[in-house]
Amino acid sequence: MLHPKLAAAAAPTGLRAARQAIATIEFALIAPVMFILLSGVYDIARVLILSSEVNDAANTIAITASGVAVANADGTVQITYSQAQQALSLVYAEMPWVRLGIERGARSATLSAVSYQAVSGACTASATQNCYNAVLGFSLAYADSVKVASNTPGNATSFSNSATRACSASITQIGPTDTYKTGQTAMNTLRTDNVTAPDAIMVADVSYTYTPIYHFITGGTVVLQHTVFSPLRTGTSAYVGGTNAAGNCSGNPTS
Amino acid sequence: MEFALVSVPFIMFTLFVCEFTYGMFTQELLDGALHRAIDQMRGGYSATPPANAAGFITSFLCPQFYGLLECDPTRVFINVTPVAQGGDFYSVFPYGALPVSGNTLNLSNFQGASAYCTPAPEQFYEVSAIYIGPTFVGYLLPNILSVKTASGGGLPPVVHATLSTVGFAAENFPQQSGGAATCSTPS
Repeated sequence: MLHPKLAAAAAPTGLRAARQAIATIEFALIAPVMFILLSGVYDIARVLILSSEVNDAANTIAITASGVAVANADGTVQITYSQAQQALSLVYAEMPWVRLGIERGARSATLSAVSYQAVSGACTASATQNCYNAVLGFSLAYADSVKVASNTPGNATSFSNSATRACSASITQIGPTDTYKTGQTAMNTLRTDNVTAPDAIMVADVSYTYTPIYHFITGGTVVLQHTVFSPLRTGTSAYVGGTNAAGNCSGNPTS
Repeated sequence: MEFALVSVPFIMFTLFVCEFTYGMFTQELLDGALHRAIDQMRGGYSATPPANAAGFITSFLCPQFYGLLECDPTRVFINVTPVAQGGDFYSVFPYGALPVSGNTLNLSNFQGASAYCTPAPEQFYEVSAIYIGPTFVGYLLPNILSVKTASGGGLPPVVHATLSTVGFAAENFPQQSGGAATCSTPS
């Protein structure tokens, strides 16, 4: 049993009770701010990582498709539907949270082929003379709806609704396929001037729409989009082999 | 009294932020490092290929961390999975998620000779890497920010594991002799 003086000191006086109440109110004021700060950090981090993954996916798809596709003698691109779909499916290897169904935003993955056809008649390439027209060969969306519907319950979103590029006899720019950027300046201009026998290119478009936690404050969704194109390199080798057995580099060019 | 009220949630908050930002930092580093490391797989090794997963991790993956993360074969585990021609990366292990069995990280596919092989030209592969790091509040939030590990594996009982996956088609390169066995071609 406490001494009466100690008991009196321990008992909540009006002043002590008031200070405790203030502390509680202070914490109640700070806690939501802390929570909002934390979720804001999460939002920014996720969108940065997803942006990086979208870039990686577009790069990987374009590089892979351009390594698998074959250039025909007339400059057109030859790739099977199965090969194109497999290249597009790399988007799932690059975006694990999308594969897992954690990220369920609208997404698109499209593979297109652009070949160059010589203009009719004699032509001398110059800075002002185009001797080739860039022609869209095909534009395919990743057809994953069956897999998504059967393997990821509840995840109805798939890449199958991706916007494809419109067929055109002659294109001059490789811009994004997404309608949200329609009317904006295209990201890359296809050079058809002053070039001779250009290689066909594979174009990969990948986009993902991220919805921030506080989208009602930030003003909507964040669309992450990346377009990459890569020339065909069938028959070439990326191997950068070392010296010969003797190590004297005699196999290297001498001039 | 005020400090006693605020300190516990504040420390929890701080540790949670540490855990979360560490996870994001590790994810970004692992993604970038794995992409750069598999360039040699994609284009063909310029020297004798590594003999096993440990060789790949030590010689190719770890240098890509630029010293920002502690890296060695006891912390990083990789798996190389061949993918059939015409196959779909949607259906390739580890399906975008950490391989967890019974609330425990299952590294069986990431260990042993079968986890690693030397890619063959013009074949498709998926390479997965798992980085094992420390956990800050993982003991309080198991299976959310942390994962348990199997006993006897030399790992802490609860860790922060990060998964990264990369898919690619190998170029038409001339194969180097030596190193680990060439990956089998799935039908």
